[in-house]
Amino acid sequence: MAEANNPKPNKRVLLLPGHPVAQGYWRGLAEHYDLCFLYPQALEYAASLSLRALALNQFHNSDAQESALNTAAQIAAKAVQNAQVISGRLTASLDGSAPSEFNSAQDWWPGYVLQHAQALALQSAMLTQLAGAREIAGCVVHEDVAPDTRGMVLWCKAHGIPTIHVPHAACHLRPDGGPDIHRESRSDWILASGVYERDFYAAGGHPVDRIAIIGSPQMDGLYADEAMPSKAEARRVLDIDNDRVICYAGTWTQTTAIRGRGVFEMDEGLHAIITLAHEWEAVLIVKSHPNGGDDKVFEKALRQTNTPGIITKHYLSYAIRASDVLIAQGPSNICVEAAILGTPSAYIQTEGFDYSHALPFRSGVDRLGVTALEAMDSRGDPAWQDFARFYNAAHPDGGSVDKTVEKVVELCR
Amino acid sequence: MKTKAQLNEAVYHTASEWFVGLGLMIDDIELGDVMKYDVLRVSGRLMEREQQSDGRGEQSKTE
Repeated sequence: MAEANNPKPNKRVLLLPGHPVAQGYWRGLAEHYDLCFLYPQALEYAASLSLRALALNQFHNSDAQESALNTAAQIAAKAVQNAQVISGRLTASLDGSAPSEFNSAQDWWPGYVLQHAQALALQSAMLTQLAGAREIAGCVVHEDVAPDTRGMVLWCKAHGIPTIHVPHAACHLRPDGGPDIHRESRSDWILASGVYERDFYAAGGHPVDRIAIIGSPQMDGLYADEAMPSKAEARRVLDIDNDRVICYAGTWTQTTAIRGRGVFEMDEGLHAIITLAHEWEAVLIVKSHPNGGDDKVFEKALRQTNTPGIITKHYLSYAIRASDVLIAQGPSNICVEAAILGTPSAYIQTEGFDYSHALPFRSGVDRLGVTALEAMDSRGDPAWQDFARFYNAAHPDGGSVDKTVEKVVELCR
Repeated sequence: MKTKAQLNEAVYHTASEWFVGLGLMIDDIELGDVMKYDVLRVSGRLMEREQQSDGRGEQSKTE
């Protein structure tokens, strides 16, 4: 255990999920707190950064286990009693057009509840064990919708511990995009990246006086000019010797609210991009989404169409800087990152989502060639600076990591 | 027949109102609220699977 080898006195504990997207502010927070990660794999990563840290599962013992299993069993019994009612309500609300499994929820609902109840009860028991041993100063999450992070936030709120949501990315659901769990936040405070994100969560019902704009800590690295390659350097490193370069940002299927035509849209978008690359005699850099997507599909498509290109989930700054224009499948946050790095962008629209700013350029696949050309010709337009500021208030200087740490310390006194 | 967006909305409201309303509490935490994301995720996965199993997906992938 990292703590056992560290002679420094204990600090108050700050709970974090431990997702790498938030690691930019771990070091700053570790100067004030002992970090305790929900995800045990984060401990090794933190150790590699020479950070003092704990993992919540270090507080797993036989008492916590027995308590959790007993609680979960009692909850599952209630679910059995309610299964018929739930199944009936679900079927009625879905008007017979739902997936067939939803018409027989009583056959699986209680087991599904048991699984979740065990996970939450164990998490709660470990948090209780931790609270018995150490003072918990607060909880900072990159999202509070998934079961484990939401469970941790709700446990803290139930115990009077401050909770802070630092969204890992802006969500571009349109106001008319229908209900979606991403509009919800359960934390006491939201540290928003910019005006857009503040307004997004305020529209979702979060008290606006509990939203502080601090910029996007995830994007701070893009402002380290000395670490960012020039266009020429990026093309040299990527071994691209061509006048025209397009970067295509792939996406992944977010299944918490399926809209549009899913995989068919992605196939259409890829096909349109490949067609455009041939029309422009361009090299195509496919920057696939770090969360998912099958790179083999891209590889197969490029091979079958004899399209010169590169496929990568990494090297974002090189992929963007090497490109004349970036085209995203949907309103991806990579468009903001591209604007910060000076590369104009466009995106292929999808149902329910859009940027709230006039930029980036956007269209369906039918007029993608015109849209991409308009975007490429807009390089250097000052409007891109306004766009970047709208989504990242720290633009053009960066420095959001420090502001995040300052605000957390202020709120977790 | 409901559209996918309408189905999403119906599942969302079911998860928001009825699952939470069951009062499945663990240490003052509403289990239904914690499960909500996964209920939506599973629903979406099932809808996605149905969409892909109707044949259009395979055709699209082999173009």
